[in-house]
Amino acid sequence: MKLSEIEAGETVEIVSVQCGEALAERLKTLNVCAGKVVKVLRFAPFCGDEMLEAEGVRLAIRKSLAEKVIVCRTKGDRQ
Amino acid sequence: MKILLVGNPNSGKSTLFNALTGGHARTGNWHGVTVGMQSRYADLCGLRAEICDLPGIYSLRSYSMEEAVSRGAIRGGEYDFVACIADALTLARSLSLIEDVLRITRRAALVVTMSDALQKRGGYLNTDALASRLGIPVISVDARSKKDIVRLRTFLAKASREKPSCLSVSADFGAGLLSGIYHAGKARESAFERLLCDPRFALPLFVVIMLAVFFLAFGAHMPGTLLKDGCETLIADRVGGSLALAAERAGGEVAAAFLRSLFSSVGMLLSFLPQIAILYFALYMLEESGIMSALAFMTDGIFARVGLTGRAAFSVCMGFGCTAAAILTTRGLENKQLQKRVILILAYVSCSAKMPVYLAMLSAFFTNSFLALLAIYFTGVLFSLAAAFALKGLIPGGEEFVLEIARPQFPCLRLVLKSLLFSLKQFIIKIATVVMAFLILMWVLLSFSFSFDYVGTGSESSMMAFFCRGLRYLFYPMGITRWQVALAAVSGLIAKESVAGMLSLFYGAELSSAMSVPSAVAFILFIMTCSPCVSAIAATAREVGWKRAAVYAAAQTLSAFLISYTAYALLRAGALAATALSVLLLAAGLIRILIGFIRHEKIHCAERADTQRLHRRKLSAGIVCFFSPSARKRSAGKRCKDRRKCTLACGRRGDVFHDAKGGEPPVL
Repeated sequence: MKLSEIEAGETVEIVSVQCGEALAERLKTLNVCAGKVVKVLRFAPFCGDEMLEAEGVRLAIRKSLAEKVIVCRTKGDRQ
Repeated sequence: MKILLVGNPNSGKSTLFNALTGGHARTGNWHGVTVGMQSRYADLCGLRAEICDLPGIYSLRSYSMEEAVSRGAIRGGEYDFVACIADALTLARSLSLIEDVLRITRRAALVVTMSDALQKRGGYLNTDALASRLGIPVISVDARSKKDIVRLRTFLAKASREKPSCLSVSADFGAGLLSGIYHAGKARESAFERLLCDPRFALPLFVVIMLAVFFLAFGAHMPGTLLKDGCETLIADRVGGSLALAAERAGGEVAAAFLRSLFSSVGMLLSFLPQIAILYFALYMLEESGIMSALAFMTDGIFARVGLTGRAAFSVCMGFGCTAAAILTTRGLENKQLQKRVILILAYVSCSAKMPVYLAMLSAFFTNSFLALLAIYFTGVLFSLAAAFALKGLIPGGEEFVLEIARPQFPCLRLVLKSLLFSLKQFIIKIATVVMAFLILMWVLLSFSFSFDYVGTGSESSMMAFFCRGLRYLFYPMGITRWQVALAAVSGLIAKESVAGMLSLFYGAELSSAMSVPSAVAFILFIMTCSPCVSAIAATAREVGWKRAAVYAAAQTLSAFLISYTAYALLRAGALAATALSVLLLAAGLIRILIGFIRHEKIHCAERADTQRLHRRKLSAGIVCFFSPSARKRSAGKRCKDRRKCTLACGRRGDVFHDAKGGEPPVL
């Protein structure tokens, strides 16, 4: 499933990131790459971005980018 | 000895740079403050070293434009030593950059900042163990503490003199490197951080802060205005008046007039210092606190609608201080097309230098200047959003947005005050040199005729009147017939403060005699939308080249004229005309949005009849859109192409429908 479909407060594990190389590289340096666990913190108003937390790093990405990140639910970390 | 400061964005490089060298590099608690390389000499316990502050990079594969600067500097090899700066709270993330740097050179050391925050969170770091694992010296400091800076100086002096360790330390840069010697502490968001990113709290908070700052600076009976009046009385009346009186008594009538004019203009300009100080203080507090990235996150939704990203929020906020500085921050934007759009719209964000003009005009024509000023600033932001929307089609370009959210922290007052004093010093120097020189030159040209007879300031037979005779025709449609006002407006190209200076030179306090109220509003709109001063144009040229910078300045000035003509015409024609035009504009705006939507569906063509109707509407929308004449031309060309393409495609479909004799497959 896509990251954009995840509700706020859920923790998921990233399976793959399907965007351009430069963008994928930037996301990797922010701890968003295959195998990492991220938590969706909140969504911005005005149908805006979502804020993620990945191993201590908080970042904001757009919905269009979140649709390119494939994730799967980890067990038991629902809040 | 040249030392490079390399590290992730927002890790404290510029703070360390300022502390070590006594410099004034811009600092702020968000990712992307430093956009260019800065060098300064520092004294490291007897060793004189040149320290270079670079923009932050995440790795040596650059993503944004300013990161390419750092990558070039590191790979270029023109340095003696590299100081890697890492944030203690995200040390694991910085390892990839340290690894990349160590592959290029082993003459390096690691400086871990924010050690105080790490301790507060319950984390720890064993610097000696890390040093032996990495093979380079490591130190942990708090960049804002004076004691730690002294320790850092000694550390850098020693490390840069040492020979790099020859042991080929095959450091395992994987997860194992930090195990056992580092713990990041509790990584959970504090309640305040959560609150700050909650839109229901943070956006109203930001609005309240802005309103409070404006009120403090500009409200009647508030410290801002009281100090301003005090300053003005002191400089213009007491000092200037007494000097002028002395000159008169000595018989120099011309000298007396000169002194009186000069001191009243300069006094008026310098009297804005308290209000500008309040504005800059608020701006720096905001930057240092870390609210900016939260703001960018929350406003990205709005900016995305007009084709920008949340990073533009940084530039817009900076634009309230100085447009030239804001243009320099655009280097941190995602790509060139975005940067061009933001540079173009920054002209509409009212910088602090326009403030004296607004206040001078408002106090002469309106009773409640505080509300009017608020309206002007707000309208400026709305204009810039509208201009960004209009430019979306003109300069198309990708808008990816990935931003690391900085940790909010209470700003270090010492650093904020240091930056504030530096900005105020710059303002005073600018007034005391550029603007004063310009005003003196103007006074001479305005008070003497070609035969060098003194004819009185602003007289019709002065040299400047001769040069400016043609200029005022540009301002006739605004209802401004005096060449003096036209000259004042044009002098805004040198420095926006000189507009206020020139107006006071000519009219002193009786500005209301120079023009009517509708003209005053048109004039204010002109100043608000005109091209910024030469320093901003020079900053633009540095980013996009001189030719483009000149084109932008011309386009902005042209749009400024058109907007002020329209405003004047509306105000003269009365409320009915205003309502009619607003309705027309709204309709045009809606149609533009509709067309954007329909063009998207163009390939999956609607019925032929619908398409033709919409193309006719496109034509009318194009006429009303007057943000820039070139936009009109471009859409006309595009319209032709679109029409041809669509009619062709739809024609084929139509043919198929009409000639369908059964059996033939449709050609699309």
